[in-house]
Amino acid sequence: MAALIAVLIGALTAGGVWLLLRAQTYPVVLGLTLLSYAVNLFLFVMGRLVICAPPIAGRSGTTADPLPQALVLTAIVIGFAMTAFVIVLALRAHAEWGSDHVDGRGDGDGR
Amino acid sequence: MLVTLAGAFAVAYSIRFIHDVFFNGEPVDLPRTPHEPPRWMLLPVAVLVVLCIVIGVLPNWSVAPLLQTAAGAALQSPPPAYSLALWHGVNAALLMSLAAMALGAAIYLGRKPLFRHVGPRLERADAGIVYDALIDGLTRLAGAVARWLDTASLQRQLVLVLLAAGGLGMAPWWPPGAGLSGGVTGPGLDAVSLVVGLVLLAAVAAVLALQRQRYMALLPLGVVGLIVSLVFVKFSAPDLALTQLMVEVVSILLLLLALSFLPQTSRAETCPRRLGRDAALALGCGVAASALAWAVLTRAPDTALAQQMMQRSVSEGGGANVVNVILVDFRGYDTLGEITVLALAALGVFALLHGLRLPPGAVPADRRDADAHPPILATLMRLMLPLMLLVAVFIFLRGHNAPGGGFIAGLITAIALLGQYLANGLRWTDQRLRLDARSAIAAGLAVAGLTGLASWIFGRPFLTSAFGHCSLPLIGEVEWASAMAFDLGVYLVVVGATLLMLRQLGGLRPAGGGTEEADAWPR
Repeated sequence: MAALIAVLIGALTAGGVWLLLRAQTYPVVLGLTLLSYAVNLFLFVMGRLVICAPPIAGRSGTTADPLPQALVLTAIVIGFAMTAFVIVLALRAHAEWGSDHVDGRGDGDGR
Repeated sequence: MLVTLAGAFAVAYSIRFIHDVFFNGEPVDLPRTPHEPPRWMLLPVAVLVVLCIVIGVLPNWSVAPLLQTAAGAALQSPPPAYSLALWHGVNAALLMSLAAMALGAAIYLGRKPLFRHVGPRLERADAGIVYDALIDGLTRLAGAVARWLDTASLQRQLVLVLLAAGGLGMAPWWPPGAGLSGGVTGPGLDAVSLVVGLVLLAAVAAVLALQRQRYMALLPLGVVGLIVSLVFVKFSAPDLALTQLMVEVVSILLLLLALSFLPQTSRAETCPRRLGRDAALALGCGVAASALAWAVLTRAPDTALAQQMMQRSVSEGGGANVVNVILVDFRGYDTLGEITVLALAALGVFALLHGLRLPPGAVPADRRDADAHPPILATLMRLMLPLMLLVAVFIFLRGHNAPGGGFIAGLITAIALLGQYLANGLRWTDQRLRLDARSAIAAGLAVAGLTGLASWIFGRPFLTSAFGHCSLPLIGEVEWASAMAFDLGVYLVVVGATLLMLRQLGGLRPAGGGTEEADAWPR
């Protein structure tokens, strides 16, 4: 199972980095989303893989580590907020430059 | 040797100094004839002379304590053993001093031939020239580095950042020997997990393949998000799974909305060298992330902190859902910062969209559906609203003891309200929804902050939580916790921020076209 999770994290990271390096803003947003999945999963599995033992106090036996879960929970919400901010930034750049190249140049008439 | 040589030169110039000033006859070539200084100008010199003699002759009596303290302070540790005395016998230091004096005297005596032969060459060896050359070289080097790094291309800088991060991340594995695998085996692989994992891999591949047909790329992206939430379910994180599920819905909605205003397709990139570089970098990052995850997952965890939190959750935080207790109590300060970031991002979106003029025709006509608000969807969403709000309240209330909480309840509420916009249009919903998103954000931050401040009244540190039990008529024994109020603040900020961002984006329309009803909501 560890191998599968490691491969998944690697695939999400590779896909995210590849899209981040594309020139247009929309692939960059997609890439950021994939990369944030990868990072969230990576942080989450720092608590190791525990099956059927959610961190609820009072349960017998070992449970999953609650701390990475708490950290990742806020990371998911903030990741969403950042995605929203970046994509609106892309919109604004597109509206002002007429181009969706990340450096503001390219096929538009802006510069 | 070097010290002796330096000493010799010091002796030489000192002898020249003393000899020329006091013993070499009348001064020549001076603009004015020097005279004896007045008595008061001799006083500072006299002080120095007295100090020199006293310290030189009686070191232990005069300077030893000061020296001890100063040496200790400079070394940050007790100084090594030493002894201060005028006469240590014949030793290496004395011989070096004697040699330096002899050599210095010799240099002074032979100064005239020295000046004749070496002097002209020394004049050309100006330290200023060396200094200027050094500064020029440094400036050129800095310019070259800056030109190399800062090419006004974000991609190039991103490549450098990734390379640096990768290099530093892999550095601990050098020299090899620590080993990649730690030897601990986790739970075994089952068929369902394998299939789901393969679906995720296929979905990532599909996102990459479809990224130029932009709407199509969103479908596999949604699949990726849902599978990530399944991973959270599988590995005992119900709170995370719920949050991921809700965020996934809102994210896809957000991307759909934004896509209406961005170019629908991208041009293909053709530079093979670039593509090769990017592919190598992406693969490298992927392999590195996999290796890191594998290395951690095959090593035993340190569970001390987790156990502490599990044990203290009920007794100190008053809740059994440890994840929620960590969020609103143990690490409440963090959460306060995080909802502040959320609020700022929402306000940033608001500010960026305010007064934004989209180029005319940014939304293609065929995206506007004639059947703007299908009656079945509209009616269904109206019926769903109270149910969804009920679920949100339920999730919020149980959050302290079972999976749920302010973040998740806030997202559910936001989705319920966004559903109304989606199904019934902006104007219909704006008329009925008497909730100003910005006020909700402000109220949420205020509630969370004031809950933290309230603990000051009881003389406790910021954000200390309290809890207890009380009985209500009809309902019976109810547990209350001040963390609940904090969670309410979180809830309000999440609802306000999500609504503000998506409502503003949905309300955008190209300049000169479209009425409020023919809005840009995707369908």
